[in-house]
Amino acid sequence: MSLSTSNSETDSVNSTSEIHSIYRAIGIGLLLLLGYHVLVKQGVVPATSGINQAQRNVIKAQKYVYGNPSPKLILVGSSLTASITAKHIGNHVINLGMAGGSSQTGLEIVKREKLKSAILLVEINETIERQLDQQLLDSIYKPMPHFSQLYFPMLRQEYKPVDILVQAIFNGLKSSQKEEKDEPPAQTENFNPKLKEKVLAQKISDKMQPLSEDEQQTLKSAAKSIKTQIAELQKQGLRIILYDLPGEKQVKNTIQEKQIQQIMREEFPADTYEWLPAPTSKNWVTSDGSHLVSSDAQAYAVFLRDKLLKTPFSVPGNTGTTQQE
Amino acid sequence: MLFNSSTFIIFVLITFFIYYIPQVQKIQVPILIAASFIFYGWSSPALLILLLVSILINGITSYKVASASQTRERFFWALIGVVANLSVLALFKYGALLTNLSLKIFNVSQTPEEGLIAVLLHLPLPIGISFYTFEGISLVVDVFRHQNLVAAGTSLPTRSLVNANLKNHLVNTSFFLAFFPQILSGPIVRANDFYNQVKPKFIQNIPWPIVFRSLVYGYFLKMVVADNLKDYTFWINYPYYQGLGTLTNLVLLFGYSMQIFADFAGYSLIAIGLGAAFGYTLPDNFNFPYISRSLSEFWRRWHISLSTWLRDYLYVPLGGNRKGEVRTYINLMVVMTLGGLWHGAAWSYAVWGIFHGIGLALERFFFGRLKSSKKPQDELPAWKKFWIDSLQVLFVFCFVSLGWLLFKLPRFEQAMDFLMTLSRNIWIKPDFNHILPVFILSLPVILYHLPHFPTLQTSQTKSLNTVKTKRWRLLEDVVMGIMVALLILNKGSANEFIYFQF
Repeated sequence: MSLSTSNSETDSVNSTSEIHSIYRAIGIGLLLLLGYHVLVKQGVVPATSGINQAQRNVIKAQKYVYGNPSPKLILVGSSLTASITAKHIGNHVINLGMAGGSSQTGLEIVKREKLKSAILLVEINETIERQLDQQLLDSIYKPMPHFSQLYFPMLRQEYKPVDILVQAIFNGLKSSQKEEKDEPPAQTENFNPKLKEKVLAQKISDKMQPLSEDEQQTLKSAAKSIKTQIAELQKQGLRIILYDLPGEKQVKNTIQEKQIQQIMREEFPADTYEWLPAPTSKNWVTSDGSHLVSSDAQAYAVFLRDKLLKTPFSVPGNTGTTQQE
Repeated sequence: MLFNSSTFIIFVLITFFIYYIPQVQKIQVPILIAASFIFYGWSSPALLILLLVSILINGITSYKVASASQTRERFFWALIGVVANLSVLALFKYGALLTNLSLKIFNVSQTPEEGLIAVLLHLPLPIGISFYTFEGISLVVDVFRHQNLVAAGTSLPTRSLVNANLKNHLVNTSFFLAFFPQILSGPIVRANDFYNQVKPKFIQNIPWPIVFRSLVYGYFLKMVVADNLKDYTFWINYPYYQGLGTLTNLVLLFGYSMQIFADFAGYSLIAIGLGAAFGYTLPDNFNFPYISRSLSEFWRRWHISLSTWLRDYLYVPLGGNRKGEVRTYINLMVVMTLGGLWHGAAWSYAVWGIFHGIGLALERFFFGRLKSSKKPQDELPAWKKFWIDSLQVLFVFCFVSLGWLLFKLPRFEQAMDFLMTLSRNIWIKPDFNHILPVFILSLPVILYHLPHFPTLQTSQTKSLNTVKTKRWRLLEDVVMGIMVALLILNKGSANEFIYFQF
């Protein structure tokens, strides 16, 4: 079939058959869209959880925005948070951790959804310096995409035909292994000790350098905007708890990491902000110096469940106290 | 304003409807100039100043060339025009690179925080400057060549590109350089091809099939193929590739080859479609480059408007292949190195150019010697011809893909590290989470090229192209319909065109 890039044919001649071709192509396109819409509505087309990092972020956000959930607990943060499986914490838990992003995007989504009561767990560490993902927010909140995705679910990320095809092939290949839909990206699991050693050594050596003045300022200004977001969410009635995930001791003990922790504690003092206490000491294992391996991510999820959801859920009146262990 | 943004769609529709109002037909060109200025200055109006400077340089110097009576005077003004164009380009595009180089040469260890050097180091790169500067040079040189022919009595003055009235000529020049479909990333239009298209346009003359097909193919390649592939080829960036296996990295590099084609060919097709909607024919920029059997063929098929520009305004004036074998190789190297540097102010682009230059020179050397001793291809059996073609296409594709690595990783040491990683990470398992989507998303590009594959082309598609049967037309319409549906269902997140950085 010739799909010519040439524009030198039939100079400005619009024969009837050519015009009919255009109508026919548009008609076929519309027919396909209509058919797909029906299939999605009827649940024939299975939703995917995304086949890459960017898509997974979008799907998380869209599910939260269009799914009308009533969560008890929402996690916002970066890929460190994203590596925790919400189901391991419990029911009515939503994880808005954005791989490659930061808490700011998640906070913005929660803020716009006008949630009235829930616990909001906010990851606070060096990742806060990452910008708000405006493109992701625009893809959900600009009127045109928002309403089209609201009324036509087929336009949402989870129903992209290519993703569905890829997922179907994977399912065909791994039919013996049942996968959980919201499993964290396989990327963090696809590692080997040799590579980890190398990456870890590199990370430790990088973090032995103290932060520059500029880097410190960047962190402080990011903290400032997060504080604004938190204040607005507290007004809505949410209970905000700040936390940082555990990681490799060697990394946590570096000069830079300690400096970051100090800045975070200064920017978000414990007498003003509620911090989640650290879990009992254990040798947390990561795949790359940052992301917990799945077994440890699960252990941390259990810790979160015990800390936050074991007691009957209620929103305390005073959000300005530090939680006692 | 991105071609794939809703703002742009609204902008085009408004411009289109105003443009074809019969009452304003006399000011169609000023309407498009105004629209082009709005388009170009949308995100940073300050850039318009530079565009206006370029218009003035090219408008005035070409006018002076046309009105000069003496050859020496014509040459003087043409030289002024070319040098001014190249100076503007050098200042904005290579200012930082040349300043850094000078600081190194003169062993200046401390970079001043302010003053001229600081300004040079932090000059912004105006988007599209490489494209409209080359168009400006084409205007000045075309007028110069034409006037020389007129003076020699071998051409008629009526074919002149320059309006007798300076004001009108500046209006035409503004239109030529700023025409919004092609100002950001080409195709690089020639003055000779554009100026004689400037006349009143009528809505009934719009070539709708060309507009529709170009826009659908263009947007499909960009939004469905390139914008989705970018989420995978992202992992070629430093240091992410270091954690991936050899096969995965190779597939991602293959994916980047597909992405860069889909991105740039997509842009060019959208530009062609938009140009046609306003009654202007823009040159083809791509002709199925990934079925090339040789590097020289590749350069006849890839970014055609740049390669022909380099041929006509640089390679031929340098002597081309008319001054002996050694000189031909030197000319090839010079043209390809400068062609590489045209893409950006980084040594890796120069290396990319040299890489292609060496490839072309070696190919010329060996093919030249093989041709005399080789059996003509037509005498070979079909299956043998198919395998030879396939191997040649594969070789050229691999060579070109290796070159694209320098576009993806403009820091030369990172590109080298990527290659080292290929040998280091053989033991890492392939990651099918990357591999499978890349192959599926690359399929449209492969299918797009397939019917034009040398051996297949000669037997089937030639006849299909000449006589389109009803069944064939229906199949084409179905494909177009699927593309329209996928444009809505499967577009990737909007991303700038790769060639905007050049």
